[in-house]
Amino acid sequence: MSQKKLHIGIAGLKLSDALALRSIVRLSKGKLERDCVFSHQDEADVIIGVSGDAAFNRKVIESKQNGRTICIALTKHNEALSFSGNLLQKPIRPQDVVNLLNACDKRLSKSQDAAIVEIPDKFKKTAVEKQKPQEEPSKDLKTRNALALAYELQKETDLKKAQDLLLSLSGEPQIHIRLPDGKFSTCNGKVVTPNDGTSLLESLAWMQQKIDVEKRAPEAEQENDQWLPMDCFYWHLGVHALSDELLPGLDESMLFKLKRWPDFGRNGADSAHLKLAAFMVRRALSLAELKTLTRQPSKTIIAFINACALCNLLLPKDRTGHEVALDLNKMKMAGDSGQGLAGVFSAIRSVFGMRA
Amino acid sequence: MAQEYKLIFTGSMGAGKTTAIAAISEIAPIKTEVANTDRQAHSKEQTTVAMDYGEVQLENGDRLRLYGTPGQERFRFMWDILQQGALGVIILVDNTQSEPIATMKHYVHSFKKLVSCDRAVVGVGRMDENPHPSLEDFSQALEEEGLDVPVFAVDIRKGDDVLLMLDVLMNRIEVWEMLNQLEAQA
Amino acid sequence: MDTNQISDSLQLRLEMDLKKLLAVNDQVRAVLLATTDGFEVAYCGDLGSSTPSNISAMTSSMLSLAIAMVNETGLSSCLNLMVEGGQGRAIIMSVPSKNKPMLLTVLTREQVSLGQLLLDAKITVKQLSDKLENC
Repeated sequence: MSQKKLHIGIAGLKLSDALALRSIVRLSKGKLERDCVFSHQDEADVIIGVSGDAAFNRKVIESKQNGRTICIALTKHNEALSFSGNLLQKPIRPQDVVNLLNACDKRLSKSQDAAIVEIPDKFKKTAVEKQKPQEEPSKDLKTRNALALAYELQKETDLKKAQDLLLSLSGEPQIHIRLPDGKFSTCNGKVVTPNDGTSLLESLAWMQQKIDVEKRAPEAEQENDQWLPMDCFYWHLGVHALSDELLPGLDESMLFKLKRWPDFGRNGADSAHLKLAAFMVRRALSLAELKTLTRQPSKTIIAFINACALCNLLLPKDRTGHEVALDLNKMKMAGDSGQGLAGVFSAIRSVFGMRA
Repeated sequence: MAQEYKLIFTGSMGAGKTTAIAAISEIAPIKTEVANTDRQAHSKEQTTVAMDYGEVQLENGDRLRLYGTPGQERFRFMWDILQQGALGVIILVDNTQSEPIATMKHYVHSFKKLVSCDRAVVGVGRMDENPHPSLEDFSQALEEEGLDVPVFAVDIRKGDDVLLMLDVLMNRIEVWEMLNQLEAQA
Repeated sequence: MDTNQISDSLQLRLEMDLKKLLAVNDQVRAVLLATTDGFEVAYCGDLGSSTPSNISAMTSSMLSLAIAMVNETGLSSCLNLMVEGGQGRAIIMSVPSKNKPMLLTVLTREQVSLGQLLLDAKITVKQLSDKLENC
């Protein structure tokens, strides 16, 4: 049996199915070629999910590109699927799970062995050079446009009162903003999908037109149209597109505290955001302190602070706050020793596939 | 030796405690439901009179025990019994019921020992059906009483939302312990 | 509790059965009848510092846990539950009825002849059950 464990991630499964899988994997230990452990999707070798779920579909696309992850769709008997990869049929049978995981293990071992090939220098150089030009400009432009959009939306008087935002794919893709007095604002641009905040914001970054205030209502809502509350939109704008610098009015010398927790129930939660929110609700902290306490990269912290600012959750404080300064040199991170609650929280996160 | 940990789900009748436990328990939850004779107070046919029980086996051999309290005030003694030694409490509120903020405050006060150590989270259900009071209103009501408890809009039928509250609870406890340690050393 | 569920006359008749038990067995300190979900229906005797509503609620909780245990352990059905304290006992019994099942709690004094008590209590349960079935 290989030493390295096979990491399994789940995407879009009902919890009862996820828990059934965990039990089967645990009980089938002797029949599996490799020890298996459940992990976050981003760390998984094998993803078991529901075809059609956004996260699972993303992973299918990634696996086709990188060939390092194998995706398995959980399906009901005779269910028609557009997915053409590995299938695991319900009701979930232990032997089916064992067979599939062993097959995945075999395939992954083969492709890992194949990957250990010496690439001649001339090819390496070319690959690196090819990558470079594509990255930087699009990122700068995306950030600038996203910032510009955020400011436009914030400063337009009417739009400050906007209730929610409609992404319309009917005809020319448009973004409509609904106002309390029955008026609508319309913004033209490319919208890829209404269901994925990341795609929306990537396309929003490419929008060139200014926002027009119009008095007509948008076209009748089509199947793919979805109204997003404004703070939901602002949240995604912040966390996905505003990671390079703090918004104007915010300063790296400031201490940052939250009025309340962000609406993770609606906007979704990243483990980094949960950590940041937990600290920032409790006390005002600087960027440097947040970086040390949460062990998150600056970009993540900046994006989070910007998102909170856009959603009016932030209480920036200057350094004359009354809280006792912390000596972070004396800090023992939770989880460093694996003792006490750190140990049990790690075990709970593991069992439910949460990221630490 | 394997350790046992306790997580409490509480809230008014019909708020979703039994559903929340069923969403994450590895065993079929043990329920203590009987016929509800007070249909004027609540239309539910059944009511929990002792507790719901579920559990999750952890990989290190420890076990997380899930307890749902009865919702009604007359079973308050069960709240006191069940919260002893608990890791934390998840308070569920139904925003379509009358006076959800008052209900939330009532449970927050009833579990104040856990609340005071940052070991509580509030989940407000059915906000899509009734968006008022808003999350802002809930948070403000807590702030006015000097209480710090995170409040989220949740759909308790979704396991992900139950796990969100659990994850927030764990993060809060970790931060509380860490900051207490640092502040004590300062 | 829906007040429409138990009429005044039925309540009086049920109370009379409780009083009979109190009268026929001097080891009984108090008797209480409650709905399965813990609402007080009738009581008589000395409850000490407790209230009928508290005892009704606790009775409901305890019996439901006992039923859960019986189901888990395959003991078929839970007929009664007994708590033995330093100064007496509390015996909880199901009062079967198709439409209005209830719970009977009997609080005893310190010295009690258990056999006689259970016999008397079962007679009371039968009487209560008959009235509830026929209402």
